[in-house]
Amino acid sequence: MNIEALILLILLLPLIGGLSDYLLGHSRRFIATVFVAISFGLTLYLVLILENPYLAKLEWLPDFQIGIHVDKPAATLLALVAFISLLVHLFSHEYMKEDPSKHRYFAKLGFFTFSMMGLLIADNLILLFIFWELVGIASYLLIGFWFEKEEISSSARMAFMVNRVADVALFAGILMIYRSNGSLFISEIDRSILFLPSLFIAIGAFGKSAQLPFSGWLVKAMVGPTPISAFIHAATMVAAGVYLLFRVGPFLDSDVLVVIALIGVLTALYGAISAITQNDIKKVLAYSTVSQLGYMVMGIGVGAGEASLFHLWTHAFFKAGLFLGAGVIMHHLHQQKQFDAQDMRFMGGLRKKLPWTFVVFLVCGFALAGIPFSSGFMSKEGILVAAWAWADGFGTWAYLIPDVALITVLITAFYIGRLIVLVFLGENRSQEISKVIVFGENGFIKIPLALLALGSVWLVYNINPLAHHSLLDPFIGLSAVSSDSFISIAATGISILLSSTGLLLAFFFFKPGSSFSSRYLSSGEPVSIGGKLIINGLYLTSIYRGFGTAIFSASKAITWIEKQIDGFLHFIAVGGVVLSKVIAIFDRLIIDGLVNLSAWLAGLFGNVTRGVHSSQSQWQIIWLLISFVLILIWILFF
Amino acid sequence: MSELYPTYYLYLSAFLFGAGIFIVISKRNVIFVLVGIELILNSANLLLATFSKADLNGQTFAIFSIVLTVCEVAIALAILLNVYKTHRSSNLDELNELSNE
Repeated sequence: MNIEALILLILLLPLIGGLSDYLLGHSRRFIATVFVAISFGLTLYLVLILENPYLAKLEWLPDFQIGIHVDKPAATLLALVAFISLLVHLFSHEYMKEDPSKHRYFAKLGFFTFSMMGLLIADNLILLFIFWELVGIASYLLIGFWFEKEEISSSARMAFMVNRVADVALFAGILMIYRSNGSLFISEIDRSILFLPSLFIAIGAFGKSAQLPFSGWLVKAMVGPTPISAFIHAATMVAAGVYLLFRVGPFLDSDVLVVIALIGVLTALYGAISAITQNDIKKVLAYSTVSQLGYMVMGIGVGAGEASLFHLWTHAFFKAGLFLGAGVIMHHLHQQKQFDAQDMRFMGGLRKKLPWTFVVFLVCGFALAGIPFSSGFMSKEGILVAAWAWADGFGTWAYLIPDVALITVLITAFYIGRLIVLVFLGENRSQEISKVIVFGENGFIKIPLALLALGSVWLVYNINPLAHHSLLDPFIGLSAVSSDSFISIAATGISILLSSTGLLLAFFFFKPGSSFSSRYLSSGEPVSIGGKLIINGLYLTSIYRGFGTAIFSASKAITWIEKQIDGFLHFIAVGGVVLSKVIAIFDRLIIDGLVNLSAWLAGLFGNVTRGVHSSQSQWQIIWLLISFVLILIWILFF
Repeated sequence: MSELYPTYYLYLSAFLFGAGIFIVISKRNVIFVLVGIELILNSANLLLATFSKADLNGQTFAIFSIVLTVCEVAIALAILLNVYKTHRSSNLDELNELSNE
């Protein structure tokens, strides 16, 4: 099989599968799932046979070429997307079993997979932008899948619109690159991109990857079906921004790279702090994604693109595992209408009911926290060490970045420990739960969860659990992170210490029966300003809304000014009309008046003389007499 | 007294003429206008009789004039009667059918 056909098949199979599921109607079908499985198999084959980067160009429009570029990282990420997509498909068969519009769901899921894969292989920036937007619209469709609810459709709209704002910057950056480099192909960029286009490209990536100040949309996107959240957070959508930065990273302006590192680490801290006090299990995971994406972006910023991509890879596994596990928990509790099925305050003791999920949460949670023997440890260490080494060569203030990143490690371990303790340990805090028909952990649920948990242990990547890179790296196409041995050892030691402390603290504070735990469980919403800021994620979404309102108000103000201008113009117009009326009156009275006066005088004279011949006979007689008397007077006296 | 004799007749004639003219001018009704015309005619007849004291020519002419006046009045009344029948009016101001106003 030649490679073009292979890539085309990989790309189109998920789309075709989803569409045929949609067209064939409501019944329980597996076409989409089977097609995605085939696509996944083909991506594995592609990874195996791909020796050199594959480049292809074809003429799309006259004088306009588009091209695809598949190198080893792209092929590996294709496999990752296909794999996560396959697991999400499998999981959704169980999760969405009852949903009447399941066929629509699978069509959108196939479309989403297709868009993301297209984005991965696009070489031309315009083609990349097209797939970028397709990913955006697919995520909008899926976040707003249960669009009948007002809140859900408005959240989907907000996620979409926040992305559009960033996309404008991305498009501007692409056009600027075309202007300065004369080529739109990423593979043809040969010199450093200027400051402004770099910044715009970075802003576009920030929007997709939910970096500050665009982070708010990712939390809003939680309203979608949980497998979709897993998909968005693990392999698609948010990975797009990191992937774009990875592709163009080596060419970005050095000042912009510093900005990227700074934004990344701030986002990591922001996400971790916001995750601490959330009660909603999905929101904890959403903020943790924001935080982990911050790590990846920071990795790009400090020049460790390979480490970031490795973290993207491991994060895809453990975050998908956590989300699908959360989906199981919510589904399990969903029959309860008395309380919010996502509120961790009503959970607890679920390790007995959902043992598989518990194990998966433990493995994936440890990977997220960065405990040794997990995949997350290895990839996160790579980024941390790279950041430290970068700061070492940069100057004193640059240590801010690795330091904040290390603090974030502590917070990360704390919030994920809190989540696991609250959900799984102790006794159930909702009495009615025992009466519920238990949602079983059947094969559709177990297999994806088990595979994802398996992908989160160290053995898959490297035999040495303390290594910072994967043995698969050269195979995948990444070069190992080179680092100073002192920095490497110090970062590893501090990080292990911090993550263990975080977990222990979480267990100590939230273990069942402790006074802090019981006080927390009985407390309502936070009342202090700090607490409110944290639980609402710095009110980012409100800021977006306020921004929209401000623009709306500004346009209203402009409308008002326009009205004033209109009034002035109206005044001038009325003045003109009045002036012309005055002139008209002058015309009529003075100019016409003179003419009319002469006419009137002539008429008057005529009337007077006509009176002699009046139709009233008596007047004739009077005139006759007067004339007669006049004649007599004339004869007698003159 | 005899030299002044015609003077009184002339005064009387002038009074009759003036009264006739006044009636003709001021009255709207055709009957009154006819009466006014009779007064004017009679003032003329009186003048004829006054100035023919020496011979009978003037007095004879006055007699003829009276007879003609009777005929004229009869004809005028006949016309007036027909006009009244057609227009239901004997007011001079309304009888302006020949006017172009």
